[in-house]
Amino acid sequence: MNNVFNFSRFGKYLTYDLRRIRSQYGLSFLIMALMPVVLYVITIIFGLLNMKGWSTPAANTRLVEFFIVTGALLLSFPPSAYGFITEKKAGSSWLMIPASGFEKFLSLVLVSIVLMPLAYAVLYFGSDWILSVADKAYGVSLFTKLFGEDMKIINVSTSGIQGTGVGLYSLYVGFVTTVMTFILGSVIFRKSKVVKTILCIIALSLVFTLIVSFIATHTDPEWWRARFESLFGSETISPDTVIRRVKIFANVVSWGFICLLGLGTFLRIKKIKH
Amino acid sequence: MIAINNLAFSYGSVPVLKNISVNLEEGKIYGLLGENGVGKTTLLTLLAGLKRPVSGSISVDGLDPFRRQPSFLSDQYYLPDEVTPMNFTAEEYSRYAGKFWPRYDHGKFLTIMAELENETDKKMNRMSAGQLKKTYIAFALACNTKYLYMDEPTNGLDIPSKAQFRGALTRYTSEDSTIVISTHQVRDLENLIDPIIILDRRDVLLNASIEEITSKLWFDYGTTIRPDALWSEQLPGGFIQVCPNTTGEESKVGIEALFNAVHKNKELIKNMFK
Repeated sequence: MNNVFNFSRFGKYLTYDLRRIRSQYGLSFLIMALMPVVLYVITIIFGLLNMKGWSTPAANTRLVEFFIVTGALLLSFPPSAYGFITEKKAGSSWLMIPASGFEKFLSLVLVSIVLMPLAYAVLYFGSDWILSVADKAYGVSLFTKLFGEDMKIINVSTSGIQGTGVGLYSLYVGFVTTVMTFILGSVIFRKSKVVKTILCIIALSLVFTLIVSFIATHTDPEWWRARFESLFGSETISPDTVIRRVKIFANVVSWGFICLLGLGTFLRIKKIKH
Repeated sequence: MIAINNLAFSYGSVPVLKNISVNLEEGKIYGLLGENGVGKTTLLTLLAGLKRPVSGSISVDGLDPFRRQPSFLSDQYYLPDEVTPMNFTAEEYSRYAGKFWPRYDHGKFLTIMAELENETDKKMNRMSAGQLKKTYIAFALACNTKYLYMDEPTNGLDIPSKAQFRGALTRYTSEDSTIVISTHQVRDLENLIDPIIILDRRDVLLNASIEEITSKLWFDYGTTIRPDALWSEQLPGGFIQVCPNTTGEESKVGIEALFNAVHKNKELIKNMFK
């Protein structure tokens, strides 16, 4: 028997994991993912009761709602879906399931950074799009507003240079980084998982900022200039090249950080004791 | 076969098990007895791979339990004292989770559930503690594993269920299975557990079969006090006394009396069963 990875066993485990998450978190997830419909219905009811007319949620309200709901999902999904690992009863039972630590980890990653965000995006943007098609008063869909040409809210910092589509990817990377951070917090801390994770992020950011500012104030700027020139050359480069290099650097840093978070989660799963 | 050699475990600086050595053979139902806090549950969790020994070793068919390899996990089932109320019906849970144990028999699960007079279509998180325990007992037996560890399995069971549990354990475990049951409810498991292991913090005080015990100790249920009694307790209508068996006569083992006799005469009993 292959004790590290077996396709059939992994398939069984992934199915089991999805069924478990659906039973534990399914309803909350569905409510969050269908929030455009909830907001639409509430707005219509209030409009009919108070203003005696048909009113739909304003574009900015829908945008704010999207960020609030996504934030709530990011904070609630990791402890709800995987926080039980540190509990004695449920965690012991989970550890005793005959699948390898790697398979359990891979399933966690697949669910958290592929299946869950995909299901959320499809349901959220899908329901919003259906409303925009069904009711002309609703306006354009949120997806078009966020990532389309007409209103570059996400692309404010990058608009005109990176073009459309980058916002969706940036949003996804941010989503994955956050969800993996809170998953690591959920499998490390036994209690107050979200609060302790946030405190850790603050503490680590503080330490990182202090280190960077120490380095910046205690080293010669000319030394840095020389290092950069040796790396990129001293000739003038186009904004496109700068952006491309920054994007590569940002991607390496982001995915490197996500890999580190994943490694921490994997090691915790492998070594956890009950 | 399970080989435990010089096993030690501690919670931080508090030692629980010290220098424990014992071999557990196939095809037997071991009764693991000991005072509160002596480390019975800890020993079971070490056997199941939920904890790592501080020193010494445990080998289950040559494998280290803490590595939690799927091949090892699929051959064992650990039933903790407190079990998890999943958000599935008993039937759903057993069908989903049973897939991981290669010899799991769903028909057997349903039969045992019927014998234990438990509902299979009831959600586990709506069951009483006793019903939940019976569901997990049925699942544990239906997994048909070579090694089965049970921590206080009769806790929470009503009187008829205790007898049903004994019946199910006798009927539905294979002859080559090794079962280790940790319990304080010795009367619930009388006539079932053989051999008996009595654990002390620093030692295994007794690891002997019922036959060995009765060949060396005499359990007297008479009305007169014997001067050579290692332990005596007044009961309504007489005494129960544990004495050295000098005549070779057979007697019925009273596990509670045996436990008290062993604890009162640790060194004597250890030397007697060397």
